[in-house]
Amino acid sequence: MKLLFTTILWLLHMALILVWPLLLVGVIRRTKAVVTCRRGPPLLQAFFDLAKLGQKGEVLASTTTWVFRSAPWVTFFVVVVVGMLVPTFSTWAPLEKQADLILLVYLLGLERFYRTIAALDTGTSFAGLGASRESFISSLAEPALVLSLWCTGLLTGTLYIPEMVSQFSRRALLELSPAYLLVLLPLVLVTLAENARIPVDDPTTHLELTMVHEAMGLEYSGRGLALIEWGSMIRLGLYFALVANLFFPVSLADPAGLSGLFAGIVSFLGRTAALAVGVGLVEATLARLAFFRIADMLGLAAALAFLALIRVVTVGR
Amino acid sequence: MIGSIPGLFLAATGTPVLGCLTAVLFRGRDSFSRRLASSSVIAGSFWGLILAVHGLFDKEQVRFAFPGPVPEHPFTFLLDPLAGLFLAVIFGLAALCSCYSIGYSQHRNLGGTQSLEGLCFGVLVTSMACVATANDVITFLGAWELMTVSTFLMVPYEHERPDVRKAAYIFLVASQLGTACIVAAFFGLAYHASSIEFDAFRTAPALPSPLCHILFLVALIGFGTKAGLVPLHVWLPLAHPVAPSHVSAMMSGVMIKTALYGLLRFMFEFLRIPSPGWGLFVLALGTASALFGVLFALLEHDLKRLLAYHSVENIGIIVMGIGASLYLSSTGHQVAAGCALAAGLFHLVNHAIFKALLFLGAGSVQHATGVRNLDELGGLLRRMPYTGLLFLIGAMAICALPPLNGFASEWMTYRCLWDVSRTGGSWGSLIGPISAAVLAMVGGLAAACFAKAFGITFLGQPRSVEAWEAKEAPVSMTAPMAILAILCGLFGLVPGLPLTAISRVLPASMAPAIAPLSLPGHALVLPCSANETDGVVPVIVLVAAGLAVAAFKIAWWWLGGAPTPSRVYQPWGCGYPHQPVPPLGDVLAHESLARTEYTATSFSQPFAYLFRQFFARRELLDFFARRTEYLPEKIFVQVRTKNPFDSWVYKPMRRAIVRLSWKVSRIQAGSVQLYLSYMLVTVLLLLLLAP
Repeated sequence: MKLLFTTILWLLHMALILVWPLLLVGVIRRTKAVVTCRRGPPLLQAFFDLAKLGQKGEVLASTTTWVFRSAPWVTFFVVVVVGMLVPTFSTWAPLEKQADLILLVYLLGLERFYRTIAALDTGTSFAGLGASRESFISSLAEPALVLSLWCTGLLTGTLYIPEMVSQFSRRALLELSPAYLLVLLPLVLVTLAENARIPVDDPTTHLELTMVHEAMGLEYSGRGLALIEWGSMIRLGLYFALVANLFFPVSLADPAGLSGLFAGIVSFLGRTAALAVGVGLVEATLARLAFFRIADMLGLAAALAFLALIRVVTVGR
Repeated sequence: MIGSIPGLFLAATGTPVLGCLTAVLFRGRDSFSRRLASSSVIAGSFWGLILAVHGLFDKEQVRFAFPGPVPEHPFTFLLDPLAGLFLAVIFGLAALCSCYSIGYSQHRNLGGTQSLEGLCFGVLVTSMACVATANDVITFLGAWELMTVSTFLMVPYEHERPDVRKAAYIFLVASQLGTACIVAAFFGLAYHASSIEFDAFRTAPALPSPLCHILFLVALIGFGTKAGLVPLHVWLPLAHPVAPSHVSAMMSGVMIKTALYGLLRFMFEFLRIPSPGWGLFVLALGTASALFGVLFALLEHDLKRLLAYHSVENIGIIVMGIGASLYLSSTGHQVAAGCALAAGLFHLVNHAIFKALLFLGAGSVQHATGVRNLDELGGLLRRMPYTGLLFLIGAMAICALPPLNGFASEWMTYRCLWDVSRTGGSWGSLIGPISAAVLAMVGGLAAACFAKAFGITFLGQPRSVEAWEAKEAPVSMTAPMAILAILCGLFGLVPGLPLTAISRVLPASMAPAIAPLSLPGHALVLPCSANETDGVVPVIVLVAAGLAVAAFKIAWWWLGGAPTPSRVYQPWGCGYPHQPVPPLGDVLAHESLARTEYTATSFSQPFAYLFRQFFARRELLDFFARRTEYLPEKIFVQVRTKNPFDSWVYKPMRRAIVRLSWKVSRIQAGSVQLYLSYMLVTVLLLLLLAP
């Protein structure tokens, strides 16, 4: 019975990690379209795209080696493993015993490193440009991410993400401290930066000189491209899950019983969809930052996290 | 005789020196002499590793002595777990580097000095082993100086070049300045304990407050210079790249760590500093080293100098663990302090492994191409597949990417920073998180730097004729690298293995920290702070499984099994009709193709721009064109960066010293009568002051 229950939890979790982000991307696109008075693609467009790409054969650049060819598989696998660390509809995550924030950050680092060298493998200027810019952005985002998660850790007394979520979910919303809110903003900024959204990067651009994330995957096609795209959508979903569960832990399901399962899932879908609408609004209303202003933005994120830290150290909440 | 510890010690330290001396006698027969020298080092290392196992796991410490020139002061040695750990690293790397040197030195034109270089290598190994086991001041300093001198003799093997000579000279001067500080610290201790035996230092009553702090500062400067801590690191990125690669691997992997060995002895055994302030200071120093090391590395385009700067970074990470341990033990958290010290020592072992791997890889690249500038390399993965794969493993390990060993030890370092930020007073709870954030940034920058180092060297298209014509290194060079790469994976997946040994090193008061490790059931679990014993290992196993699947796919493609329908075509060239790939011999046509590639300079340009104030970066751009034409004929670009420590710290210091010397020189007028009167006055003063 317990085995069956655990299996159901695993399946639900993996479905939310693997499939739901495709719809989230649809929601972002639809929001953008509605705000700018367009009709926009159907909500399920991401599914159609992936299905189409998955059926196509690949075209490999003549300059590439096994690094390029293995990258979609490696990066996709690593992202899925990260998906097992982050709780979704409950305070539970499949690998909750190991889900500390350092492992989370470094697994994402592994994925990014592999994508970077795969881009350099093509030997073209565009991919090199994308690789250089992506490592620039993410190495500046890293301290803000760790510092803000470290603060939530100090607030809850643990480094484990599911444990943090369950601590927060037991507190009343009115109990929120300034430190808690000061941590939220850096985490949102890092989410935008790490997932190549406006104002850091434009996911729809294909102008060679302005691409960052897209430029790295320029040489991919067919199944490889499908895996790369799917992987980056899952990553977006993970960051959304992290923000939604750490800062808006409303009606999370109890992992011990089936009681709140349905409500938990609906609440998770609703909260992440709301975040997606928010990101869509940001994308529709903001322009992209000049490249070196991104450093200022991420510096701001780190500074806010630092303020939160001072608050936590001096006041304790 | 070999069965006893002194016998083993003699065999381990004597074999390399004697073998290499014999090799000098046979220097006429080049190949034989080289093999003799290498195999004697390997044989000595075999005995040395047995000695290390004895040191680590024997119940009691062994003291032994050999008679020296002064009858009542023999050379004394002590084999305890800390010495055992360092012996294991020293002899393990010595054997591998020595094996590597057989192939590496084959085509180097050394003009007959080859056997002398081998002799210096043997002396280096022996002297490092003596440093790690010495048990009195004279033995320690003698071995320490021998280590410096033998390294100094190996560094300038390209001594025709003035910059190489200068680098070696700076290395010697920096080492001697460091040694002067160490001697001063030892004299202070010997004065207090009225003995030169280390055992007397250990049992002497605690030092009075100001003397203790002064001695620690002096020792920190002395050992910090040798270890390459910022801002005392200037010699390191100069001397490491110019040495032959197997020597660089030894220098970076072990030699600079003997300084940390000395520092540990001072901190925890001789001085037993009780102040948490020093702990935080050392932690902050380590953090600064890590950050500045990686920033300099990022802008570097010389493959070996880039690696040398990463040594500065990693020494910083090790020192972070040591500083955190000092802080936690002085605030009374012995268990957490044990974890922190274990984190530092574990990273020390890991850094020895992956840094040696990377230096040997860089050596193979230089051996195959004769080039160290990244902007002239490229496409080597096709030409040197094994070296490339092994270098990639080393690069991922040094970036602390799971599932390799760098991650395991950095994870523990984060854990000890967590303890610092949770347990201490207000300073600790501020410096702990900041160090963690800086460590995260260092991780991101290191990943960028090694994506550059690996990507520009091994991927893409060759950027020079030399890179075009590169050939795979011989087995004697790839095999030692393969062993190091396997260790990277093994220590990452089964961190309990090295940690069982490291837990023996911890002082008795901190020992419970790693207690779970001695239980067989927990052999796979990383130790954690206090009562959290759930390790990260299962996830690491999952990732490893995924990488294994990927490796299988790679091997499949490598062996010729093509993935389902795929075509090979030119990469996207901005919509221009594609040009056919020029034939292999047509280098000129090829160069025009490779010229559009991204280079190491362009890759690190955003970082250079962002930190331009810090590096005092100047860009000079000149267009040479006739007035009537729109397109310039020639573009001249020059980028200059300055080392801020040079202009802020060393130049003022140098100027002050020169000014002081001028002033002092007044009393040195050159007349013999004056000097005689100085001596007379001195003698009189001494007679008056004598009790």
